[in-house]
Amino acid sequence: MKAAAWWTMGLVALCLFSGCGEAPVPGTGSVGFDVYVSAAAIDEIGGFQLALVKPGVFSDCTSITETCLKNQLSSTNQLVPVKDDQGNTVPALFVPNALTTSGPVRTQDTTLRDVPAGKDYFLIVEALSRQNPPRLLGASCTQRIEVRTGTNERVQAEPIVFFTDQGGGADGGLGVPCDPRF
Amino acid sequence: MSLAQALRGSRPPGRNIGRPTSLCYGFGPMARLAGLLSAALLLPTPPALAAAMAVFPSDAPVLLAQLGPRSPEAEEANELMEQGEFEQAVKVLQRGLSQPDVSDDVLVELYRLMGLAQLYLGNEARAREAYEKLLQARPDYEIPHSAPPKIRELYARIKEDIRKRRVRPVTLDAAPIDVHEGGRPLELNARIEDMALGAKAKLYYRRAGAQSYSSVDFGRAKGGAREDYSATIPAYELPAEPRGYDMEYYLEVADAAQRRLAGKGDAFNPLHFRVTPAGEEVPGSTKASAWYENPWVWAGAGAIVVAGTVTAVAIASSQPAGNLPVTIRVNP
Repeated sequence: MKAAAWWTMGLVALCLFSGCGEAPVPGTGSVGFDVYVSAAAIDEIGGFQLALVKPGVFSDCTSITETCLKNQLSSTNQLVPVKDDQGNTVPALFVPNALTTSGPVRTQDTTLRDVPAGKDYFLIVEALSRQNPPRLLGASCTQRIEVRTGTNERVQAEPIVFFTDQGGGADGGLGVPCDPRF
Repeated sequence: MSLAQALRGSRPPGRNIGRPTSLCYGFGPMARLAGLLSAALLLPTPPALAAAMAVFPSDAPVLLAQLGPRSPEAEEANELMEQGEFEQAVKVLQRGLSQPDVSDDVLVELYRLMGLAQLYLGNEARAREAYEKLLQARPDYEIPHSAPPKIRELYARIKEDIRKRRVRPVTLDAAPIDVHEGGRPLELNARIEDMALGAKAKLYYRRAGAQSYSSVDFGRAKGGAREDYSATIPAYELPAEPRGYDMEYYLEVADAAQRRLAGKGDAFNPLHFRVTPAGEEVPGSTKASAWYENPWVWAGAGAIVVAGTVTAVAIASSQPAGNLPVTIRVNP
Protein backbone atom coordinates (compact mmCIF):
# COMPACT_ATOMS: atom_id res chain seq x y z
CA MET A 1 0.00 0.00 0.00
CA LYS A 2 2.78 2.35 0.94
CA ALA A 3 4.65 1.45 -2.21
CA ALA A 4 1.59 2.27 -4.31
CA ALA A 5 1.27 5.66 -2.65
CA TRP A 6 4.92 6.42 -3.30
CA TRP A 7 4.53 5.34 -6.91
CA THR A 8 1.51 7.64 -7.30
CA MET A 9 3.34 10.58 -5.79
CA GLY A 10 6.32 9.84 -7.96
CA LEU A 11 4.22 9.84 -11.10
CA VAL A 12 2.55 13.12 -10.14
CA ALA A 13 5.93 14.70 -9.48
CA LEU A 14 7.26 13.34 -12.76
CA CYS A 15 4.29 14.87 -14.56
CA LEU A 16 4.78 18.22 -12.87
CA PHE A 17 8.47 18.37 -13.67
CA SER A 18 8.14 17.12 -17.20
CA GLY A 19 6.06 19.98 -18.56
CA CYS A 20 2.48 18.83 -18.13
CA GLY A 21 -0.15 21.48 -17.63
CA GLU A 22 -1.77 24.35 -19.47
CA ALA A 23 0.08 26.68 -21.75
CA PRO A 24 0.97 29.99 -20.14
CA VAL A 25 -1.33 32.93 -20.60
CA PRO A 26 0.26 35.37 -23.06
CA GLY A 27 1.55 38.58 -21.61
CA THR A 28 1.42 37.40 -18.07
CA GLY A 29 4.79 35.76 -18.09
CA SER A 30 3.28 32.82 -16.27
CA VAL A 31 5.69 29.97 -16.42
CA GLY A 32 3.23 27.13 -16.02
CA PHE A 33 5.13 23.90 -15.75
CA ASP A 34 7.23 24.40 -18.81
CA VAL A 35 10.18 25.84 -16.99
CA TYR A 36 12.94 23.79 -15.58
CA VAL A 37 15.08 25.58 -13.06
CA SER A 38 17.57 23.54 -11.22
CA ALA A 39 19.36 24.65 -8.11
CA ALA A 40 22.51 24.57 -10.20
CA ALA A 41 20.97 27.07 -12.62
CA ILE A 42 20.11 29.43 -9.78
CA ASP A 43 23.64 29.15 -8.50
CA GLU A 44 24.80 30.26 -11.92
CA ILE A 45 23.00 33.61 -11.58
CA GLY A 46 25.51 36.37 -11.01
CA GLY A 47 22.92 39.09 -10.78
CA PHE A 48 19.87 40.70 -12.25
CA GLN A 49 19.51 43.58 -14.63
CA LEU A 50 16.31 45.61 -14.35
CA ALA A 51 15.19 47.93 -17.13
CA LEU A 52 12.05 49.92 -17.76
CA VAL A 53 11.03 50.23 -21.40
CA LYS A 54 9.13 53.29 -22.48
CA PRO A 55 5.57 52.88 -23.73
CA GLY A 56 5.16 52.37 -27.44
CA VAL A 57 8.39 50.46 -27.91
CA PHE A 58 6.75 47.05 -27.48
CA SER A 59 3.08 46.29 -27.85
CA ASP A 60 3.18 43.41 -25.39
CA CYS A 61 5.59 41.00 -23.72
CA THR A 62 5.67 38.66 -26.69
CA SER A 63 9.17 37.52 -27.59
CA ILE A 64 10.87 40.16 -25.45
CA THR A 65 12.35 37.61 -23.11
CA GLU A 66 13.66 35.37 -25.87
CA THR A 67 16.96 37.16 -26.15
CA CYS A 68 18.85 40.07 -24.64
CA LEU A 69 16.73 43.20 -24.35
CA LYS A 70 19.72 45.20 -25.52
CA ASN A 71 19.55 43.53 -28.91
CA GLN A 72 15.91 44.45 -29.34
CA LEU A 73 16.24 48.19 -28.89
CA SER A 74 17.41 50.70 -31.44
CA SER A 75 18.88 52.86 -28.71
CA THR A 76 18.93 53.22 -24.95
CA ASN A 77 16.65 56.24 -25.40
CA GLN A 78 13.87 53.68 -25.50
CA LEU A 79 14.55 52.92 -21.85
CA VAL A 80 13.42 54.94 -18.87
CA PRO A 81 16.56 56.19 -17.13
CA VAL A 82 17.05 55.14 -13.52
CA LYS A 83 19.60 55.90 -10.84
CA ASP A 84 22.12 53.46 -9.49
CA ASP A 85 23.36 53.35 -5.90
CA GLN A 86 25.91 56.05 -6.64
CA GLY A 87 23.26 58.37 -8.01
CA ASN A 88 24.42 57.96 -11.59
CA THR A 89 21.79 57.90 -14.30
CA VAL A 90 21.90 54.51 -16.00
CA PRO A 91 19.71 52.82 -18.59
CA ALA A 92 19.33 49.68 -16.47
CA LEU A 93 20.06 48.75 -12.88
CA PHE A 94 22.26 45.76 -12.05
CA VAL A 95 21.87 44.09 -8.69
CA PRO A 96 24.00 41.13 -7.55
CA ASN A 97 22.26 37.85 -6.87
CA ALA A 98 20.96 37.83 -3.30
CA LEU A 99 17.95 35.60 -3.72
CA THR A 100 16.20 34.50 -0.59
CA THR A 101 13.77 31.65 -0.28
CA SER A 102 10.25 32.85 0.36
CA GLY A 103 7.78 29.99 0.40
CA PRO A 104 7.69 28.20 -2.93
CA VAL A 105 9.63 30.88 -4.76
CA ARG A 106 12.94 32.64 -4.39
CA THR A 107 12.78 36.40 -4.31
CA GLN A 108 14.97 39.43 -4.07
CA ASP A 109 13.84 42.94 -3.28
CA THR A 110 15.36 46.01 -4.84
CA THR A 111 14.29 49.52 -5.76
CA LEU A 112 14.49 51.53 -8.94
CA ARG A 113 15.20 55.09 -7.83
CA ASP A 114 14.27 58.42 -9.36
CA VAL A 115 12.23 56.88 -12.11
CA PRO A 116 10.48 59.53 -14.23
CA ALA A 117 6.76 59.37 -13.53
CA GLY A 118 4.78 57.70 -16.26
CA LYS A 119 2.64 54.72 -17.09
CA ASP A 120 2.56 51.72 -19.39
CA TYR A 121 6.21 50.98 -18.82
CA PHE A 122 7.49 47.45 -19.36
CA LEU A 123 9.68 46.07 -16.59
CA ILE A 124 12.26 43.62 -17.92
CA VAL A 125 14.30 41.61 -15.45
CA GLU A 126 17.18 39.65 -16.91
CA ALA A 127 19.16 37.02 -15.04
CA LEU A 128 22.86 37.26 -15.89
CA SER A 129 25.29 34.40 -15.55
CA ARG A 130 28.45 34.62 -13.48
CA GLN A 131 30.58 34.29 -16.59
CA ASN A 132 32.61 37.11 -18.07
CA PRO A 133 31.12 38.33 -20.28
CA PRO A 134 27.83 37.28 -18.77
CA ARG A 135 25.14 35.40 -20.67
CA LEU A 136 21.41 35.67 -20.45
CA LEU A 137 20.08 32.83 -18.32
CA GLY A 138 16.47 33.93 -18.31
CA ALA A 139 14.22 36.92 -18.21
CA SER A 140 10.80 38.15 -17.24
CA CYS A 141 8.56 40.84 -18.61
CA THR A 142 5.93 42.71 -16.63
CA GLN A 143 3.54 45.05 -18.41
CA ARG A 144 1.62 48.15 -17.45
CA ILE A 145 3.98 49.47 -14.84
CA GLU A 146 2.96 52.89 -13.56
CA VAL A 147 5.29 55.13 -11.63
CA ARG A 148 4.00 58.06 -9.62
CA THR A 149 5.95 60.63 -7.71
CA GLY A 150 7.17 59.53 -4.30
CA THR A 151 7.47 55.94 -3.29
CA ASN A 152 5.25 53.58 -5.20
CA GLU A 153 3.69 50.28 -4.26
CA ARG A 154 5.99 47.31 -4.60
CA VAL A 155 5.84 45.64 -7.98
CA GLN A 156 5.92 41.86 -8.04
CA ALA A 157 7.86 41.16 -11.21
CA GLU A 158 6.72 38.19 -13.24
CA PRO A 159 8.73 35.05 -12.42
CA ILE A 160 11.86 34.76 -14.47
CA VAL A 161 11.61 32.32 -17.34
CA PHE A 162 14.77 30.31 -17.72
CA PHE A 163 15.75 28.81 -20.98
CA THR A 164 15.11 25.13 -21.21
CA ASP A 165 18.08 24.49 -23.46
CA GLN A 166 20.50 25.29 -20.68
CA GLY A 167 23.83 23.80 -21.41
CA GLY A 168 22.64 22.71 -24.80
CA GLY A 169 24.04 25.59 -26.77
CA ALA A 170 26.69 25.12 -29.40
CA ASP A 171 29.31 26.42 -27.02
CA GLY A 172 27.99 24.39 -24.14
CA GLY A 173 27.25 27.43 -22.00
CA LEU A 174 24.09 28.10 -20.10
CA GLY A 175 21.34 30.34 -21.45
CA VAL A 176 21.57 32.54 -24.49
CA PRO A 177 25.01 33.62 -25.72
CA CYS A 178 24.41 37.35 -25.67
CA ASP A 179 25.76 39.89 -23.22
CA PRO A 180 22.74 41.61 -21.68
CA ARG A 181 24.66 44.54 -20.20
CA PHE A 182 23.98 48.02 -21.53
CA MET B 1 14.07 14.60 -36.59
CA SER B 2 10.95 15.64 -38.29
CA LEU B 3 10.72 17.16 -41.71
CA ALA B 4 7.23 18.23 -40.81
CA GLN B 5 8.65 20.09 -37.86
CA ALA B 6 11.33 21.54 -40.05
CA LEU B 7 8.85 22.88 -42.54
CA ARG B 8 6.42 23.86 -39.85
CA GLY B 9 9.10 25.76 -37.98
CA SER B 10 9.10 26.74 -34.36
CA ARG B 11 9.95 29.50 -31.99
CA PRO B 12 12.97 28.96 -29.77
CA PRO B 13 12.10 26.58 -26.98
CA GLY B 14 11.53 27.47 -23.41
CA ARG B 15 10.63 31.11 -23.84
CA ASN B 16 6.97 30.65 -23.53
CA ILE B 17 5.62 34.09 -22.82
CA GLY B 18 4.83 34.57 -26.48
CA ARG B 19 1.55 34.78 -28.25
CA PRO B 20 -0.37 31.57 -28.25
CA THR B 21 0.05 31.37 -31.98
CA SER B 22 0.84 28.00 -33.33
CA LEU B 23 2.08 27.44 -36.82
CA CYS B 24 0.95 23.83 -36.82
CA TYR B 25 -0.89 23.05 -40.00
CA GLY B 26 -2.10 19.73 -41.07
CA PHE B 27 -0.24 17.50 -43.47
CA GLY B 28 -2.56 15.29 -45.46
CA PRO B 29 -1.53 12.39 -47.64
CA MET B 30 -0.49 14.58 -50.56
CA ALA B 31 1.41 16.92 -48.30
CA ARG B 32 3.17 13.90 -46.88
CA LEU B 33 4.02 12.94 -50.43
CA ALA B 34 5.19 16.50 -51.00
CA GLY B 35 7.34 16.31 -47.94
CA LEU B 36 8.72 13.03 -49.17
CA LEU B 37 9.58 14.52 -52.55
CA SER B 38 10.94 17.68 -50.98
CA ALA B 39 13.14 15.61 -48.79
CA ALA B 40 14.24 13.68 -51.82
CA LEU B 41 15.10 16.91 -53.59
CA LEU B 42 17.02 18.25 -50.67
CA LEU B 43 18.56 15.01 -49.58
CA PRO B 44 19.24 13.12 -52.79
CA THR B 45 20.59 10.05 -51.07
CA PRO B 46 18.85 6.81 -50.24
CA PRO B 47 19.20 7.32 -46.48
CA ALA B 48 17.55 10.70 -46.90
CA LEU B 49 14.63 9.12 -48.67
CA ALA B 50 14.35 6.59 -45.91
CA ALA B 51 14.43 9.39 -43.38
CA ALA B 52 11.71 11.27 -45.20
CA MET B 53 9.56 8.16 -45.33
CA ALA B 54 10.05 7.76 -41.65
CA VAL B 55 8.92 11.32 -41.15
CA PHE B 56 5.64 10.86 -42.95
CA PRO B 57 4.47 7.33 -42.35
CA SER B 58 1.19 6.61 -44.07
CA ASP B 59 -0.57 5.88 -40.82
CA ALA B 60 0.79 8.87 -38.93
CA PRO B 61 -1.87 11.01 -37.26
CA VAL B 62 -2.55 14.21 -39.16
CA LEU B 63 -1.58 17.31 -37.26
CA LEU B 64 -4.42 19.72 -36.73
CA ALA B 65 -4.55 23.26 -38.02
CA GLN B 66 -7.00 24.67 -35.57
CA LEU B 67 -4.44 26.67 -33.64
CA GLY B 68 -2.83 28.42 -36.60
CA PRO B 69 -3.52 31.99 -37.67
CA ARG B 70 -6.77 32.20 -39.53
CA SER B 71 -6.46 33.25 -43.12
CA PRO B 72 -8.82 32.01 -45.83
CA GLU B 73 -5.97 31.98 -48.31
CA ALA B 74 -3.69 30.01 -45.99
CA GLU B 75 -6.41 27.47 -45.34
CA GLU B 76 -7.26 27.19 -49.02
CA ALA B 77 -3.61 26.85 -49.95
CA ASN B 78 -3.20 24.22 -47.29
CA GLU B 79 -6.07 22.22 -48.74
CA LEU B 80 -4.72 22.59 -52.25
CA MET B 81 -1.34 21.39 -51.12
CA GLU B 82 -2.94 18.38 -49.52
CA GLN B 83 -4.46 17.63 -52.92
CA GLY B 84 -1.13 18.10 -54.65
CA GLU B 85 -2.20 21.32 -56.39
CA PHE B 86 0.96 23.19 -55.59
CA GLU B 87 0.94 25.63 -58.49
CA GLN B 88 -2.63 26.55 -57.64
CA ALA B 89 -1.62 26.87 -53.99
CA VAL B 90 1.12 29.31 -54.94
CA LYS B 91 -1.44 31.48 -56.74
CA VAL B 92 -3.73 31.44 -53.74
CA LEU B 93 -0.84 32.35 -51.46
CA GLN B 94 0.14 35.22 -53.73
CA ARG B 95 -3.43 36.43 -53.54
CA GLY B 96 -3.29 36.22 -49.77
CA LEU B 97 -0.06 38.17 -49.64
CA SER B 98 -1.54 40.95 -51.74
CA GLN B 99 -4.39 41.47 -49.29
CA PRO B 100 -4.29 44.73 -47.31
CA ASP B 101 -3.75 44.64 -43.56
CA VAL B 102 -2.31 41.15 -43.38
CA SER B 103 -1.36 40.43 -39.78
CA ASP B 104 2.18 39.42 -38.95
CA ASP B 105 1.18 35.92 -37.95
CA VAL B 106 -0.76 35.38 -41.16
CA LEU B 107 2.14 36.82 -43.12
CA VAL B 108 4.50 34.33 -41.54
CA GLU B 109 2.14 31.47 -42.27
CA LEU B 110 1.63 32.51 -45.89
CA TYR B 111 5.36 32.72 -46.51
CA ARG B 112 5.99 29.46 -44.71
CA LEU B 113 3.48 27.69 -46.95
CA MET B 114 4.90 29.49 -49.97
CA GLY B 115 8.36 28.21 -49.13
CA LEU B 116 7.02 24.70 -48.77
CA ALA B 117 5.07 24.82 -52.03
CA GLN B 118 8.02 26.18 -53.94
CA LEU B 119 10.28 23.54 -52.48
CA TYR B 120 7.88 20.90 -53.68
CA LEU B 121 7.81 22.45 -57.13
CA GLY B 122 11.58 22.12 -57.14
CA ASN B 123 12.08 25.86 -57.16
CA GLU B 124 14.64 26.42 -54.45
CA ALA B 125 15.21 30.04 -55.47
CA ARG B 126 11.56 30.90 -54.96
CA ALA B 127 11.49 28.95 -51.71
CA ARG B 128 14.49 30.90 -50.61
CA GLU B 129 12.72 34.14 -51.50
CA ALA B 130 9.73 33.14 -49.39
CA TYR B 131 11.87 32.19 -46.41
CA GLU B 132 13.77 35.46 -46.71
CA LYS B 133 10.53 37.37 -46.47
CA LEU B 134 9.41 35.19 -43.60
CA LEU B 135 12.60 36.12 -41.79
CA GLN B 136 12.03 39.79 -42.46
CA ALA B 137 8.59 39.56 -40.93
CA ARG B 138 9.70 37.38 -38.03
CA PRO B 139 13.43 37.72 -37.47
CA ASP B 140 13.38 35.26 -34.60
CA TYR B 141 11.76 32.49 -36.62
CA GLU B 142 13.80 29.34 -36.16
CA ILE B 143 14.02 25.96 -37.77
CA PRO B 144 14.24 23.31 -35.04
CA HIS B 145 17.65 21.88 -34.29
CA SER B 146 16.26 18.48 -35.08
CA ALA B 147 15.54 19.41 -38.70
CA PRO B 148 17.51 17.66 -41.45
CA PRO B 149 20.97 19.15 -42.01
CA LYS B 150 20.15 20.11 -45.60
CA ILE B 151 17.18 22.18 -44.55
CA ARG B 152 19.04 23.77 -41.68
CA GLU B 153 21.90 24.59 -44.01
CA LEU B 154 19.55 26.23 -46.49
CA TYR B 155 17.89 28.20 -43.73
CA ALA B 156 21.21 29.17 -42.14
CA ARG B 157 22.51 30.32 -45.53
CA ILE B 158 19.46 32.50 -46.02
CA LYS B 159 19.86 34.05 -42.58
CA GLU B 160 23.53 34.68 -43.16
CA ASP B 161 22.83 36.27 -46.52
CA ILE B 162 20.29 38.60 -44.98
CA ARG B 163 22.75 39.53 -42.25
CA LYS B 164 25.49 40.29 -44.75
CA ARG B 165 23.20 42.22 -47.02
CA ARG B 166 22.56 44.74 -44.27
CA VAL B 167 19.12 45.85 -45.29
CA ARG B 168 18.96 49.56 -45.88
CA PRO B 169 17.54 51.48 -42.96
CA VAL B 170 14.00 52.76 -43.12
CA THR B 171 13.75 56.52 -43.48
CA LEU B 172 10.74 58.57 -42.54
CA ASP B 173 10.18 62.17 -43.47
CA ALA B 174 7.15 64.31 -42.78
CA ALA B 175 6.47 68.01 -42.69
CA PRO B 176 5.69 69.24 -39.19
CA ILE B 177 2.18 70.42 -38.34
CA ASP B 178 1.90 73.86 -36.79
CA VAL B 179 -1.78 74.54 -36.48
CA HIS B 180 -4.99 72.81 -37.46
CA GLU B 181 -8.57 73.99 -37.47
CA GLY B 182 -10.68 72.15 -34.92
CA GLY B 183 -13.59 70.00 -36.02
CA ARG B 184 -11.85 68.80 -39.16
CA PRO B 185 -9.87 65.63 -39.80
CA LEU B 186 -6.14 66.02 -40.03
CA GLU B 187 -4.32 64.21 -42.79
CA LEU B 188 -0.60 63.86 -42.27
CA ASN B 189 1.51 62.88 -45.25
CA ALA B 190 4.84 61.17 -44.83
CA ARG B 191 7.49 59.74 -47.09
CA ILE B 192 8.76 56.39 -45.92
CA GLU B 193 11.57 54.83 -47.91
CA ASP B 194 12.79 51.25 -47.71
CA MET B 195 9.81 50.22 -45.64
CA ALA B 196 10.63 46.81 -44.21
CA LEU B 197 8.33 43.92 -44.85
CA GLY B 198 5.99 43.38 -41.94
CA ALA B 199 6.77 46.82 -40.55
CA LYS B 200 4.03 49.27 -39.77
CA ALA B 201 4.04 53.03 -39.57
CA LYS B 202 1.83 54.72 -37.01
CA LEU B 203 0.91 58.22 -36.01
CA TYR B 204 0.54 58.53 -32.25
CA TYR B 205 -1.31 61.52 -30.85
CA ARG B 206 -2.84 62.81 -27.66
CA ARG B 207 -4.17 66.02 -26.29
CA ALA B 208 -1.46 67.84 -24.37
CA GLY B 209 -1.72 66.78 -20.74
CA ALA B 210 -3.45 63.48 -21.48
CA GLN B 211 -1.83 60.32 -20.16
CA SER B 212 -1.92 58.01 -23.13
CA TYR B 213 -1.58 58.20 -26.87
CA SER B 214 -4.04 57.06 -29.47
CA SER B 215 -2.74 55.93 -32.83
CA VAL B 216 -3.71 55.60 -36.45
CA ASP B 217 -1.90 53.54 -39.06
CA PHE B 218 -0.23 55.03 -42.04
CA GLY B 219 -1.46 53.68 -45.37
CA ARG B 220 -0.26 54.16 -48.91
CA ALA B 221 -1.32 57.61 -50.11
CA LYS B 222 -3.86 57.43 -52.90
CA GLY B 223 -2.35 58.36 -56.21
CA GLY B 224 1.04 58.89 -54.64
CA ALA B 225 4.35 57.21 -55.16
CA ARG B 226 5.20 53.92 -53.52
CA GLU B 227 6.96 55.79 -50.72
CA ASP B 228 4.10 58.19 -50.03
CA TYR B 229 2.01 57.38 -46.98
CA SER B 230 -0.73 59.20 -45.14
CA ALA B 231 -2.53 58.88 -41.83
CA THR B 232 -5.65 60.70 -40.75
CA ILE B 233 -6.67 61.76 -37.28
CA PRO B 234 -10.46 61.74 -37.35
CA ALA B 235 -12.35 64.98 -36.78
CA TYR B 236 -13.93 63.76 -33.57
CA GLU B 237 -10.49 63.51 -32.04
CA LEU B 238 -9.88 67.17 -32.82
CA PRO B 239 -13.07 68.90 -31.72
CA ALA B 240 -13.41 72.63 -32.15
CA GLU B 241 -13.36 74.41 -28.81
CA PRO B 242 -13.72 78.11 -28.05
CA ARG B 243 -10.18 78.56 -26.78
CA GLY B 244 -8.17 76.13 -28.84
CA TYR B 245 -5.71 73.62 -27.41
CA ASP B 246 -2.43 71.84 -28.08
CA MET B 247 -1.92 68.32 -29.36
CA GLU B 248 1.17 66.15 -29.05
CA TYR B 249 2.14 63.59 -31.64
CA TYR B 250 4.92 61.44 -32.97
CA LEU B 251 5.47 59.16 -35.92
CA GLU B 252 7.03 55.74 -35.72
CA VAL B 253 7.86 52.85 -38.01
CA ALA B 254 8.23 49.58 -36.11
CA ASP B 255 8.97 46.08 -37.34
CA ALA B 256 7.01 42.96 -36.57
CA ALA B 257 8.82 42.64 -33.27
CA GLN B 258 7.83 46.21 -32.41
CA ARG B 259 11.36 47.46 -32.74
CA ARG B 260 11.50 51.08 -33.76
CA LEU B 261 13.01 51.40 -37.23
CA ALA B 262 12.45 55.09 -37.81
CA GLY B 263 10.42 57.93 -36.40
CA LYS B 264 9.83 61.58 -35.75
CA GLY B 265 9.55 62.44 -32.08
CA ASP B 266 8.74 59.84 -29.48
CA ALA B 267 6.40 59.35 -26.55
CA PHE B 268 8.57 61.40 -24.25
CA ASN B 269 9.64 64.01 -26.75
CA PRO B 270 6.57 64.49 -28.90
CA LEU B 271 5.98 67.08 -31.58
CA HIS B 272 3.22 69.64 -31.11
CA PHE B 273 0.52 71.41 -33.02
CA ARG B 274 -2.28 73.70 -32.01
CA VAL B 275 -5.93 73.12 -32.71
CA THR B 276 -7.65 76.42 -33.32
CA PRO B 277 -11.35 77.15 -32.82
CA ALA B 278 -13.55 76.35 -35.80
CA GLY B 279 -13.75 79.12 -38.34
CA GLU B 280 -10.64 80.83 -37.09
CA GLU B 281 -8.19 81.56 -39.80
CA VAL B 282 -5.21 79.26 -39.61
CA PRO B 283 -2.13 81.34 -40.28
CA GLY B 284 1.43 80.15 -40.23
CA SER B 285 1.39 80.27 -36.45
CA THR B 286 -1.21 81.30 -33.92
CA LYS B 287 1.51 81.91 -31.39
CA ALA B 288 2.61 85.00 -33.30
CA SER B 289 -0.84 86.59 -33.21
CA ALA B 290 -1.26 85.74 -29.54
CA TRP B 291 2.05 87.34 -28.85
CA TYR B 292 0.98 90.62 -30.40
CA GLU B 293 -2.48 90.59 -28.94
CA ASN B 294 -1.42 90.11 -25.38
CA PRO B 295 -0.70 93.44 -23.71
CA TRP B 296 1.05 91.72 -20.82
CA VAL B 297 3.76 90.64 -23.16
CA TRP B 298 4.59 94.25 -23.97
CA ALA B 299 4.18 95.36 -20.39
CA GLY B 300 6.59 92.93 -18.89
CA ALA B 301 8.55 91.43 -21.75
CA GLY B 302 11.87 91.52 -19.99
CA ALA B 303 10.49 90.12 -16.78
CA ILE B 304 8.73 87.34 -18.63
CA VAL B 305 11.87 86.34 -20.45
CA VAL B 306 13.77 86.09 -17.19
CA ALA B 307 10.92 84.37 -15.40
CA GLY B 308 10.43 81.99 -18.31
CA THR B 309 14.06 81.02 -18.30
CA VAL B 310 14.03 80.41 -14.57
CA THR B 311 10.82 78.43 -14.82
CA ALA B 312 12.15 76.32 -17.67
CA VAL B 313 15.27 75.49 -15.72
CA ALA B 314 13.20 74.69 -12.65
CA ILE B 315 10.87 72.44 -14.60
CA ALA B 316 13.73 70.68 -16.33
CA SER B 317 15.48 70.01 -13.08
CA SER B 318 12.42 68.91 -11.17
CA GLN B 319 10.87 66.35 -13.45
CA PRO B 320 8.46 64.37 -11.33
CA ALA B 321 10.05 61.09 -10.40
CA GLY B 322 9.41 58.32 -7.96
CA ASN B 323 10.97 55.27 -6.41
CA LEU B 324 9.74 51.90 -7.55
CA PRO B 325 10.31 48.96 -5.21
CA VAL B 326 10.54 45.73 -7.19
CA THR B 327 10.53 42.10 -6.10
CA ILE B 328 12.43 39.84 -8.43
CA ARG B 329 10.93 36.37 -8.46
CA VAL B 330 12.42 33.05 -9.47
CA ASN B 331 10.54 29.79 -9.31
CA PRO B 332 12.87 27.08 -8.07
